[in-house]
This record gives sequence, structure tokens and C-alpha cells, in this order.
Amino acid sequence: MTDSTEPSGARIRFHNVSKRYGDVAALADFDLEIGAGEFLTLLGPSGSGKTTALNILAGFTEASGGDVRIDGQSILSLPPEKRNVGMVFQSFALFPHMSVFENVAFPLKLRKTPKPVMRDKVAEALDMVRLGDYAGRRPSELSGGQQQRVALARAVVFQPAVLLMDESLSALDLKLREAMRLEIRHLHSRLGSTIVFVTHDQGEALTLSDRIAVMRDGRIAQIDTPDRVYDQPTTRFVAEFIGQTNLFDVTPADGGGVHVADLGVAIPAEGMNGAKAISLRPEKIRALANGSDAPDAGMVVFDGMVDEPLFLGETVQYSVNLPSGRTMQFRENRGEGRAPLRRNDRVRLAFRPHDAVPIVRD
Amino acid sequence: MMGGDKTGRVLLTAYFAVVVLYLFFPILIVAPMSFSDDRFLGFPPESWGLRWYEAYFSDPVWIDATVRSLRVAAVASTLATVLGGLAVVGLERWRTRWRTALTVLFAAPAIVPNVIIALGVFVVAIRLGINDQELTLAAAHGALALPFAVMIIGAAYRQIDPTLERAARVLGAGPVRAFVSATLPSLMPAVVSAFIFSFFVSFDELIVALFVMGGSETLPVRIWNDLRFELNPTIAAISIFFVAITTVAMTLAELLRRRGANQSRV
Repeated sequence: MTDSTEPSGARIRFHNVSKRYGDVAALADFDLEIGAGEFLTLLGPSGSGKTTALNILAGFTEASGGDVRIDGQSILSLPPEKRNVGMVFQSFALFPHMSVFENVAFPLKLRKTPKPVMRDKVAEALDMVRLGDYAGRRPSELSGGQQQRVALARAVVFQPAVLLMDESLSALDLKLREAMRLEIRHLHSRLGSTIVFVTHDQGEALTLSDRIAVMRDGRIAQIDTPDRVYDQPTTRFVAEFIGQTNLFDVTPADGGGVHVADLGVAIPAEGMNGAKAISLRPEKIRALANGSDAPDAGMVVFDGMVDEPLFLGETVQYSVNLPSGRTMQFRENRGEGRAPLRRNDRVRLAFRPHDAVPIVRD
Repeated sequence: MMGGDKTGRVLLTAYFAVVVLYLFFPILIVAPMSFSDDRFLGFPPESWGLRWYEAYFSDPVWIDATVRSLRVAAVASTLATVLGGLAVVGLERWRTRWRTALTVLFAAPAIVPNVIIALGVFVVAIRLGINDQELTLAAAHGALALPFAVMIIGAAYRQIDPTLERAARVLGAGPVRAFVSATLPSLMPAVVSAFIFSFFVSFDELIVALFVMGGSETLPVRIWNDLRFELNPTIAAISIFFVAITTVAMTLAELLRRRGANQSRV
């Protein structure tokens, strides 16, 4: 796996793939191109089709239509064992009756790897996940995080060009999950394999991925780099699913911009064409000191009343009631010089026009 | 309060003792009789000795019947375990609307009265000219034991994480190899347990054996025939001998089953 002369990642292409269960479409016209060596995350709520897509790629689920190619080769007619992909499962799926060594050696044994080569490769894979001293243990003698790392070693020991991860971190507790994110990133840069990662956890998706495909109802709602998916969501669904946001319906205003009824303000033009709503992240909104004007002339200013401050550690999130009756959220760092806002404080808020992201579809 | 607790405990203990007595009553009677030195079966015995154990081991007719029973039971339990194991795999994986019906079908031999099964097997065996043959009896016994094998192996199968086999597949194993290397090891204790259980279903089965076997007696048939002509304590000795063996084997089977249940949890 450290052999850099070998071509590493493979290109994956989903072409109009669909999967129906009776009348229900688990996957519809699913079109996706994943570059060689890319870390792509399928992110979505349960039932969005992300696991179906992964299972079709692994060969556990038969597609109802379309084609899937790895490096140009159609793989839909191949059984899972012929696809040469590695996979890490949510439940780890380690063989309980085999030692750690035997688990990791399993794919090599099936590939008739000579014994000495096998021993070296297993040792190398276990070292990579820092479990070199655990080769003789049974899976039941390991902690959840260690089991997870064995599962990883087993999935990559035969140098598959594609590595699939199905909710692979969900079974771990929070601290471990965050540590594993780092390990997986290291692993990815070291292996160079194409990784398809399935999760419902947006935090995982944002930290790990080169690109995120946000899925909904069997389709890709948006596919982009993590920062663009976060900063430039195009649909209400994506805006709300990734991070926290305030969504306001808008109507076209005179002179090209849009009018936000809930805030009683207009936002001047620039890219607002066809917007049905705007998404405004809580951290993009600033509270102004009493009675003062916006520090920046272009800022959009509106008023509200603090409803509920929520202490989040390094930030405080405020719930604000608007004159229209709507509630919205904004967030600021603590200790910004001004006294913290309290319930029922009147507050003047401001945001830059370009931080309001136009939402064109639901 | 304390007094009430105490009374409750005494009552519970008494109840427990009665149930145990109820369950073990036959053995409590037969065990002393087997160590009798009397000429006839009676309770309580007037003199003590191992005379009837000796009588059993030295009579070729008894030994012959015992060996025949062991042979039949070996074949029957192999049949029940293999067919039962395959049935479980089929029933659990085959998503069909006939599943419930099939499950009931596999339980049928445990529900239909043995005498009905015996009659059916008898008629068919006569017609085919295969009555009085060990294989015929073994086949019938295999069917009788099948529901237990399906039950025991099925319970273990449902405990096994199905992603284990998927993992084996994606790592490079074909369907059979994946089953053998991922699922079967966790299933093995239950398979052994089912084998032992089936073995004893066959070993002490009388009714079907009475119908099917003519001249060649199995051990239960031999006991039955012996009882009809004379009451001597040999049967008591045999009974206790086999109760001992059965107890050991069943304990072993149960231990294996539990070890398996613990191991398949990670």
C-alpha cells in the first residue's frame, strides 16, 4: 500500500442508475462521476438512497436500471467478490472466530497470496492503524475503536482501488469518532484509493470529503466541495440539512433585488435572480452596539428582540423574535467587548448582502 | 413483613421440591431397582448388587439392540442436522410469501402424533418392501428430529450478523466460501447441539420403531418386548445407564450451544 508506483484510485461512474422496490424509487436517475483518488461522501437522511447507491456499487443490491463503471468497466454483472473493492461496515463485521491477524489476512488468503508476503502485508496494514501488537487478539477482546481500525486494515490490505465506508463511524462514541476522522484522512492521503463514504452526519461529511453529494429522495440534491455546499446551498433542503440556517421567503423587488417580508428589508441585486428564498447562516449575522449604525454602509440592518440565549461554549446562540412574528437564530463569539444580550433585549442586527444565499429550489 | 417473606420463601422452596420430585419420580423409582439383586422387578429391592448391569452387558440380544439403536440414531441425527441446517439457511434467506407455511411444514413432525406418523411410514414401507430395515427407521426418525434441528439451528442463525457474510463476499469470497468462513463457524455449536438432541430423539423412540421394525429390535423395542414377557430388573439397569449417558451428552450440547451464543456476540 506504500508502493507508489502502483496506480491507486479508480474512477467510478454511476450512469442513470435507478432502484425500485415495488412502487418506491430508492434511487432515481442517479448520475455521479467520482474521480480517481477522490474522497466522495454520500450525505443524506435515512431513506435518501445513499446506502442503496453504495450497495449497488458493492454488489449487494441489484440496480433496476442504468450502469455503474469502475475505470470504464461495467461492474453490474460482477458478483461482489469480483469487484475488488474494500468495504468497512457500520457494525465492523469482523469475523468473531478469527484473530485480528486472520481477519486482516482473510482477503489475502482468498487471493492466494504467498504466506511470507501475506505476513508482511498484514503486519504493515496493522501498523498503519497502530494495532501491530494486537495481531493475536480476538475481535471481542478489542474496544470499539480498535475493532473499527481492524476493519479498516482488513478493507485496505489488498490495495483495492475503491474503498467503501458505510456509516463506518456511527457505532463509535463522539470523541473516538472525531479521532477516527483524522485517521481516515491520513489513510486516504496515504493510500490514494478512491473512497466512497456514506453518512448521515454532516460534520463527518464536511471534515472528510473532497466533495459531498447531498442526497434526498433517491436523487442528488447538490454535489460540491464541502465549503461550497455549506456556503452556497442551492436548495432549502441542502441549506437546512448542512449546518444551521435561517430561511426566509423572498419576492422580487423593484430595481432587481429581492424583498424579505419577514425582515422588512430589501437586498440589492447581485445573483438574486430567480431566488425563492434566502439562506442566512447564524454566524453571518452580527449584533450592533446600541443605536449605532452598521460598520459597513452596504450592510442590511433590521431589528428584533432576544428570546433565548443558548450558551454553546466558545459561542452563544441567540434566538430572536422578529416584528413579523418569525423567530430566527444568530450566533456570536463570546467576549466581543459588548455585554451579553439578555432575554427581551431589543437588538439591531446586520448582515452583508452577499452572505444571503439565494435559494432557487425547494 | 419479614414473617411474610419467610413464609413465601418456604412455600416457594416446597413448590420447587414438589416439581423436581414430579420430574424425577420415574428415575427415583427406577434407579434403586437397577441396583437390585432380586430375581424380579420390585420396589423397593430386597437385596443390592450390580447383577442386572452385568446381565445387560453379557446378553448379546441386548447389546445387539443397543448397537442397532446407536446406528439408527447416528444416521437419523445426521439426516436431521444436515437437512435442518440447510432448511434454516433457505427459510431465513428466501424472501417468499410461502415462508410462514414452510416454517409450519418443518415443524409438522413435532405436532403430528407419532402414532399417525408410524402408521403412515408403516404402510408406505410395506408397499415399497423396505420395512424392517434400519435405513427406513433412520429416515423416519430423521423426520421426527427435523423440527428440533430447525429450531435449534434457526435460533442460532438469527443471532448472526448478516453483514459478516457480506464482508466475506466483498473481501473476495464466493457465496459458498463466504457462508463457510463467515457464518458456519458461529453456527457450529448449534449444529453440534442439534445433532446430539436429534440423536436422542431417535435413540429412545419406540412407536415408529415398533411399527417399522419386525425381527430386528432397537433398544426401546427390546425393552418393550422384554417387559411383556417378564419383569426383570435388566431394563432398570439399562434405563439408568442411558439416563446417565444422556445427561452427560445433553449437558455437553447445552454448554456448546451457550458458548456459541456468547461467541457470536462481538
